[in-house]
Amino acid sequence: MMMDETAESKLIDDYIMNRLNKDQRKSFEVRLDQDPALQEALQIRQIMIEQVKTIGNLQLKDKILNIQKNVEGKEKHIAKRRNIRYFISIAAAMVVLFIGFQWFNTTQSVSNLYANNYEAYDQLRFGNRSTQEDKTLLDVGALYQKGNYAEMLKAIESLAPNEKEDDRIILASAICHMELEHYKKAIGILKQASVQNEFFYQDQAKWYLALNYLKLDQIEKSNKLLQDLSKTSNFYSKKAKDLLEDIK
Amino acid sequence: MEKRSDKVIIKQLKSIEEKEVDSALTYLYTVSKKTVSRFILRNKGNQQDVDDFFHDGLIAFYNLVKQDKINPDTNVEAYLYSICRNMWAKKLMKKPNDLELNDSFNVIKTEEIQIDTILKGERKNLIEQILKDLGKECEKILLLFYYEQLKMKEIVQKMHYANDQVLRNKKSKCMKSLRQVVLDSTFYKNQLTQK
Repeated sequence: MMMDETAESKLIDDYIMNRLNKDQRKSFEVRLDQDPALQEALQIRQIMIEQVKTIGNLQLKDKILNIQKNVEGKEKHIAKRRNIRYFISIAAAMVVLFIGFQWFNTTQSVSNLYANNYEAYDQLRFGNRSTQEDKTLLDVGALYQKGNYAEMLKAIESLAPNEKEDDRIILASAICHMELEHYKKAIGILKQASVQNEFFYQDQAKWYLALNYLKLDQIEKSNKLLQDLSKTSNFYSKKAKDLLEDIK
Repeated sequence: MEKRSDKVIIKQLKSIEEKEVDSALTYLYTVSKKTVSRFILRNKGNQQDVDDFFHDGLIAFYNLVKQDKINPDTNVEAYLYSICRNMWAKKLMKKPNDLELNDSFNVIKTEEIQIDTILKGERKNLIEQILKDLGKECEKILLLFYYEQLKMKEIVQKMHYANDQVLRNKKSKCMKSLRQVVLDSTFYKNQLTQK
């Protein structure tokens, strides 16, 4: 005996969707065995629900395909950005390496030029011990000759003002500073000396000043002094020309 | 992507809010596909197999969640992986254990994870006819009831009906239309003759 359609349909739905308890399920199955109309109703209901579930699966599959597109799109985007960052990093590293290499080369070559051309001036003569003044200068000069440059700078401090203005002491103090790598101090002394017409060691002052500028990578200033020297006819003329060539 | 607990994932998949479901599916897609992909590619599969079987595995897992067949304490990622693995093993006509180490999910019944998303012939015609004749509203009601397995009250809330009775009447009409399409179909007639 069939129930009214709505109640019967609900019961069949609950059976198909496994919503009946154990007793209800058993009771339904007993009825099912004896009722061909219920069997037919169940069969068609199962087919109907099966089609609805298939439509649900197809729609879910579409949704998953969209998720796939989004996820893979984002992954591709991230990978693209990562690649761009990677290439930028490599390019930046190459630029840094190139600049570093160039700087290293320039620094190396400037350092080499300085080292190849610099030597302490060894023609300074500080007189004999005939006068007290000469004796003092001779003691100070001895420190220079022995290469005790730091000691010599201290000794110069204790000299009398007129002794400090001695051209030999001025040039020697500049050389001492260069030996001790006080290039800026050396530049201060030599710059002042090189423009004084009465300064005895004017060419030497220009030469060592040019070397100081070279050491500090002030190539233009160095070039200008070397060009001046190259036009003279003294000992430093050829040295200046050669150095100008090397700088080029 | 921030790690989600298994309970949160299952709760989201059961939610009546579509964006919650989408969020859980996207999460599972992102965290699980690589593992499934490695397994299938190591076992004679290609990238198309990976996509097909992972998608069907995800659908099967979703159905099991909706049918309350997944324990809330289940390790969701491992379970999803096992479904895909079992599907692929079936395709290769091999036992899952021949392909990979044993695990606790070999009890998954094959019929529970059988997903039919590639339709042909009469079945395809029937589905197309249903989608054509039913209308969007009926399609949605029946999907929410039979596929999403929402309760009547949840469907009333989701579809903004006045009350349960309105929905019951609509659903009854939709089922009558569906019944007629099925009864008229060659697919159904062939099913009857096969018995």
